Amino acid sequence: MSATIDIVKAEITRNALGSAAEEMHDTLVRSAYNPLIFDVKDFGVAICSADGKLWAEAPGLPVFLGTLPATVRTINDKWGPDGLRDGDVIICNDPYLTGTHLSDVAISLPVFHRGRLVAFTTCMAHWADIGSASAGGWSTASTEIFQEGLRFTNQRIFLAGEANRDLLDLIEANVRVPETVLGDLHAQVATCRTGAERVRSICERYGADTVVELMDHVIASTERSLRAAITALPDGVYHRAARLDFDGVDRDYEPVISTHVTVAGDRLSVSFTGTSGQAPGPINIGRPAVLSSVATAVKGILDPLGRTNDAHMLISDIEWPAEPTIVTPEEPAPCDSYGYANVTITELVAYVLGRLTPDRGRASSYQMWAQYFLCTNAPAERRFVLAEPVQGGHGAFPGHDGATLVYMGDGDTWNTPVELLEARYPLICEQFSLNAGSAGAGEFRGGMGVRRDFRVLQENSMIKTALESTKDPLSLGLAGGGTGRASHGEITYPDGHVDVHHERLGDYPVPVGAVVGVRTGGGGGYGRPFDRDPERVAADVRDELVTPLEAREVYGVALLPGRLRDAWLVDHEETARLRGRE
Amino acid sequence: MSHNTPPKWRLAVDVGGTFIDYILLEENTGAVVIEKQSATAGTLADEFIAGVERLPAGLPEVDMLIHGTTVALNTLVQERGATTGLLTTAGFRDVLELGRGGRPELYNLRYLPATPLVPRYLRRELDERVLADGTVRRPLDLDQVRREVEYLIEHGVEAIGVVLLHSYARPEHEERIAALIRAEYPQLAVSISSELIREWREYERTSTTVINAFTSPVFQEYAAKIESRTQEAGLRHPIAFMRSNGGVIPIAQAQIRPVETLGSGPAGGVVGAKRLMGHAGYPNVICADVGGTTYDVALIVDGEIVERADTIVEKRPIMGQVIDIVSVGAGGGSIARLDPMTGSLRVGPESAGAFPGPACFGRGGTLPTVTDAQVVLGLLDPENFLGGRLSLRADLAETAIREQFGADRDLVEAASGIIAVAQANMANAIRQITTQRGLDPRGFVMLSYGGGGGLFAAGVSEELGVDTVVVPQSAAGFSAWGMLSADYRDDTSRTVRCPLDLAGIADIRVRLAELAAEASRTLVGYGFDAGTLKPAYSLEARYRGQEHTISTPIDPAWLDLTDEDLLAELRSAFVLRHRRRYGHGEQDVPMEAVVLRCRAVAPVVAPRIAAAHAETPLSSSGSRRILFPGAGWCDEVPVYQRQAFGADDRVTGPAVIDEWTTTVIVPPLWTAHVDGVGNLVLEKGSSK
Repeated sequence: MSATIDIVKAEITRNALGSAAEEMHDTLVRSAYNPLIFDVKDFGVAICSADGKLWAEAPGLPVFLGTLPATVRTINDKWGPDGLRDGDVIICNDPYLTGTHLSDVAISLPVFHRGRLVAFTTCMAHWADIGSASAGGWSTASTEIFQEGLRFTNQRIFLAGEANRDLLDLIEANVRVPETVLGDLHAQVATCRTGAERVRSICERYGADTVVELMDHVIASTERSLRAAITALPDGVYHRAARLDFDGVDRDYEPVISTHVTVAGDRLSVSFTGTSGQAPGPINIGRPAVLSSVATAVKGILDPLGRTNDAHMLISDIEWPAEPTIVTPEEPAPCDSYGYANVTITELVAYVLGRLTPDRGRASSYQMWAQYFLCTNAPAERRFVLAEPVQGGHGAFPGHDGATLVYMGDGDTWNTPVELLEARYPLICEQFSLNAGSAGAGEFRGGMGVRRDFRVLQENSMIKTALESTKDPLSLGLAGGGTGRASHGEITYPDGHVDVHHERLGDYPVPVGAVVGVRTGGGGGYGRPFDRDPERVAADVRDELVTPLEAREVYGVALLPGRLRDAWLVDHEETARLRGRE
Repeated sequence: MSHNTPPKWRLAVDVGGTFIDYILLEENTGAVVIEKQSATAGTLADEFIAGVERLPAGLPEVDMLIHGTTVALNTLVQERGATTGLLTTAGFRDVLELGRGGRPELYNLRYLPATPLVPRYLRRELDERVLADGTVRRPLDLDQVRREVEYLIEHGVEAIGVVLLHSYARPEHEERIAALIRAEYPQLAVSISSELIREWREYERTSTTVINAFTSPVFQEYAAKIESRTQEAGLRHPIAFMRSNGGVIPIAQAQIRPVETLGSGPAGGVVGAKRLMGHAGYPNVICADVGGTTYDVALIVDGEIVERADTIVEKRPIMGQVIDIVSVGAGGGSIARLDPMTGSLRVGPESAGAFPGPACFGRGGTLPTVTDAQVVLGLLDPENFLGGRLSLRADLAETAIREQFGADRDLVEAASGIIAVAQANMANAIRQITTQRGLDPRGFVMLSYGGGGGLFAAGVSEELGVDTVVVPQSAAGFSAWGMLSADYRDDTSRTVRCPLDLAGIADIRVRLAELAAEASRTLVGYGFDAGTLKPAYSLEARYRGQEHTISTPIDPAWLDLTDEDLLAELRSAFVLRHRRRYGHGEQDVPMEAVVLRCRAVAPVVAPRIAAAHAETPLSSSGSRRILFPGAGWCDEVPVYQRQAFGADDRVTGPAVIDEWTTTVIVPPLWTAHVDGVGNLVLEKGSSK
């Protein structure tokens, strides 16, 4: 530890920046107009140094961890050291710069202190609409970026504090729900200004140069600790790949994401050798989001609870393929459904590192599900877009069954309460329950997926289902645990006919009275099912999460009916026989 | 005390984790007697009485006994409640387990939500359905209810929660189930969601109802025991229980709604703060309760306690109006360490607790804490801690700090760093609740209490730019004193979701009248005269299209205005609050009323606040060497005894003021005096 660095000031500065980021988070949640922001929390906020190093963030989507600082660096690339003025506000959503998709709009504010650029406050939020061919974004079948909506490449939406009317008018004329979108845009600007005020007061206290030095010290310390943790891992090359489903455009194209994680001394690198070439459909993911996806996994293993800074993002070396691939798309590759690749990369890397760290890793989780209900061709008062992430099964780990939570890419996002949803949208929810039988078996079983069913009440309604890859489920078990069952959709038509979907549906019309059923997948199990405590198996049968037949065949547990209904007793003798331990 | 007036006694008993605090107040003079008794789970009722017996007034002489208890909270945190069942709408039995699905620890691959308090097989579904507008889609079948209740009883259930979808809009199905269970299965403790909360969000409502059911049998047993023991000892009046909203309820109600006592511990201090600071003429107050492990902060704005409509206890949400208290892990016991992951000096949230406690306690603790740093810097007198009951070992404090931070780092620098970081953490907690509401902390006065209240008060205030600090008498027992000022009150609310325009105003009027009638009915049920009750109204409003609402008070006088004028007042009041909070807010765009609230208050005669001033001239009782940041070591810092202050005495820092369980630090550039009601007031830069 350098004696010249003040460890007290470092702590106070680090905490002050973290609490400033939390304040930004709160400002955005409380002033946004769009449920994706205020209820679902599909956004991220960050404070970066003038040269784009991550100083602090607050809970949102982990994918924005890497995308925000990367976006800030592209602002500098474009405007140069003297190109920005106090009061400028920059807008960017270009996936080749931000890494995600056009719906995620980054608003960044250069922070000036005593006439000098000292930092950026920035936030990225999912807009309700971005003017793409497919309403609400998340196109399932676009073939080029130009179909996916308005594209901003670090333009100034405010010029020295004055709103840029031309740009705002352009947005207003090009999105389906302009009131919501402009409301959110202003909420984002207010968010950045809140953070800027706090950054300026920290600079006032210690001096801007000292703040930079202190945060450089914090970032260097974090890097040193992370490197020490990497050194403790066994050296080697660890591989896992996953096949993704149909990209929405080309049925002959077989998308594969392949990761090789190399641990060598204190270095950790991830290569994507073996990953398929750039997808014709919108499942490509930009470099900054790839970096975030890797960083999410590595932080999850090495420092899950610490405040995030630039070291967490840059600790892994990425070996980028030289040619255009899913993870290195080139303009005009479509990127609107980048989320599948995002979660896949995180789960693959977390899985191989988890095998090295039984005290920190877990089995793999379901990939994702985002469900849309929309009607955009009705009169204004009946137009609506509902988008929500649907939770599913996460991987188990020693001592615990997996949980049922939102997917890895979506962080602290929430489902919509049924009571709010039914009051706000022309839908009735018929059930929201655990998807029994979906979890991967194991000494500790995976988390169950869910069943969430909606009856459609308004004509001209459509759905979009951002349904996970089902052919090669991501939710692999660990240490002998089973794989979680993949998601699927079920549409029950008013005449009783049921359509089962294993593939995504885009802008798919659903008649009044039909029930759209979401069945999300389960998480992977940990340890061998035959090692599961028979009493836990009996409890799962009692709770109707596992059938008596599954108890016998999968877990090797024989049950006898108890005196009370549903109170099963373990037949120990028969169980021992089934488990081959007589 | 006057010799002519017979004494009138009021007693507050606050049961905490390790101690029971007693504050006995003589109402005519405001004089208080403090007593303490150690507490152990299991024999609480005996210890409760044992402490009472040492007081100068017996229970037959006590007019009002207010009881703060953590029984419900401990039952929940330790998950030791009753075997509980849940009856809910078909298709939704897993709402309790699924929650909202978020992962607040984004990168934690092993994040687990709270375990449901009711296992799946005891969550039973009823084939009924009410829709969002209150229409019945499928009627309730009471025979099915009976079958499911029988199932639950057969499986050993003692408490049942009932939560049906949209019951906030139409509670009829829940009410019929309640009537059936209470009539046919009187042995069961039953909690009905619509009796507890009339607001939407099914997961949060289910969680609240289930927590109430889960804790009620244990709470009822405890309350019944205390009631019978105090009656045996001669208490003539029913006990009042402290609630999280700062009011009290009679024992019979508390037994039905134990969930409302979960946050009652820190509530007393804030209620006391409102009373004390109102009396002293300060409308805007930061209330800081400094304990051994946590720093609890609340706000009083324009004379009113700032509240919130939801809380989370151990990952479980609870709905209902409560005092908004933000708690951070910072206090005397907070552990300091050099964290290689950040390269910085971190303090808390880990705490050394009471055992082993700070290193200087000499009970085997080896990790340095904030208290150890205070000993090293002279801020604490090792021979005068807790009134001299514990002698502190400065040598052990030094060793612990040296071992953690290395021999090459200056001991004093490390110790003052620990204090600086702890104070910055405390200041961040205060910023969180002020600036996030668009309030500037510099417009506030700080009231600092709890055992560590006087040690940090001035330091944290300097961080925030606050220049007036008040340390009340008996700061360590201030929470219990505050309970003595608690009123009886009842909160009612309704999710309405109607436009804030002329078409909606009639409905709002009708609903408010219903809520007032409902709240009054409850208090009249406690024995209060309807004529003495004061209703207070508020509205949760938002711009159409927004989700989050802003709580907007409604002046009862507005209800006498015409519809047009009432509407104009409501809309302006909302816009004003929106602008204050977010810096913008339009007047002429569509707005919505989402939740209406009414609170009826039956005021309890507020106890007199006593001023105690010494008649003899102030002189110091000694001096010690203390380090102040910025000023360095001050060799002869005078130490004063608080009770020695006369009405006109004012000391200039650096100085120390000692009281039985509290030490107050007056840094350089600050002055201190005792005001007309006995508070110690510290002011910055007003040396007179």
